[in-house]
Amino acid sequence: MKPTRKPPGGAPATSIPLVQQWLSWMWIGATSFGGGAATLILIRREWVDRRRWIGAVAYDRALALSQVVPGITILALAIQLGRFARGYAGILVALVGLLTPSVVLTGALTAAFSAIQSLTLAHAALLGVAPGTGGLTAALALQVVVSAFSTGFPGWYRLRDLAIVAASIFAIAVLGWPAPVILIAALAAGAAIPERSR
Amino acid sequence: MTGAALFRIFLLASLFSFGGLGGLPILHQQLVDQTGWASEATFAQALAIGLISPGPNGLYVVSLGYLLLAWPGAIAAALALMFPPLLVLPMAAAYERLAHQRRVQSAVHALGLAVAGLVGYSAFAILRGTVSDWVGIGIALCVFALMTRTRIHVIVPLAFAGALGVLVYR
Repeated sequence: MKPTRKPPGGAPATSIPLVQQWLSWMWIGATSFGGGAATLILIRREWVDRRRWIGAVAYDRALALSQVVPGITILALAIQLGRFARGYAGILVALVGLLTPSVVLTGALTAAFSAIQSLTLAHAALLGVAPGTGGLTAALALQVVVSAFSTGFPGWYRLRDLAIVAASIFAIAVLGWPAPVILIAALAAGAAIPERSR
Repeated sequence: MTGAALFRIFLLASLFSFGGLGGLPILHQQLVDQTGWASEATFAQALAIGLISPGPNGLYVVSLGYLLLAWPGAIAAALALMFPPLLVLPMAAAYERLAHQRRVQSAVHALGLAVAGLVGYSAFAILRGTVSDWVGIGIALCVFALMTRTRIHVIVPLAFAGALGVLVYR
């Protein structure tokens, strides 16, 4: 195999077997009921906590970069993790592995939906699941907030970091700015008020 | 309507969207207003299925593709969704080249903080939109506690929430 370019995070491409990566992505794709929050929680558990295939700092950076490209954030994250683990073969395995079960299940559910739709039971079940996805997103938020602050500098920089979080919430909740504008503004603010070198 | 035409529309929407549901206005304009291939009801159905099926919510486009053209439509949608996020590769490469500069490090750290703020706000918005009574508060709190304090799989609390929904809201 040709040596791959240095992936984000500075570590070389790993020797994690492609079959293991593929199985991991299939598992995530098939079981991440509950939308994007569920998927992100599962990916972090698999890649960072359980299998330790990537460090938390490199993972967080990949997640941050995923936010500023068009399309589905989670696919951009999967692309980066796949590349980190095994170059272009890793990217292919990540995309195909993650999407195959999700696409098949989404198609099958759509096919079955006209039958389900008429049932009040399914509607009642969805009413129960909806607040659950709210709790799930709150859990994801806690995880993202904790890891965003854990990599910051102490002292005055903490105040700057808090100000960026507060300003982004203000911009979306009160000013109603589109998310990409807020993210680009944050990039500019971070570049304008730099930290010491890491 | 052909698979290739659907692919072009899905690709366009995905290229000009950020996050899972960002492409919705473009898709709506192209499929409902301009071509008349889809109805409002089709969109609502696809969005609902996108929420309950596994994977990112943005996969509602796959459901939309299926409703319009069966499996070829679903596959056209999945392929169209795969390409735009690949733009993260040149971006990550640029970051690697510039990563030693402290302004670049600081900018990406600030990006992570803004993402944290936005995810926090979306958690608040989703909770506000989905929790309407004490049962809902209980479900949201239980799922939050289980996901932050235990290693239990996401499916388990959501299945219980669904069962509770059947018992309470039927």
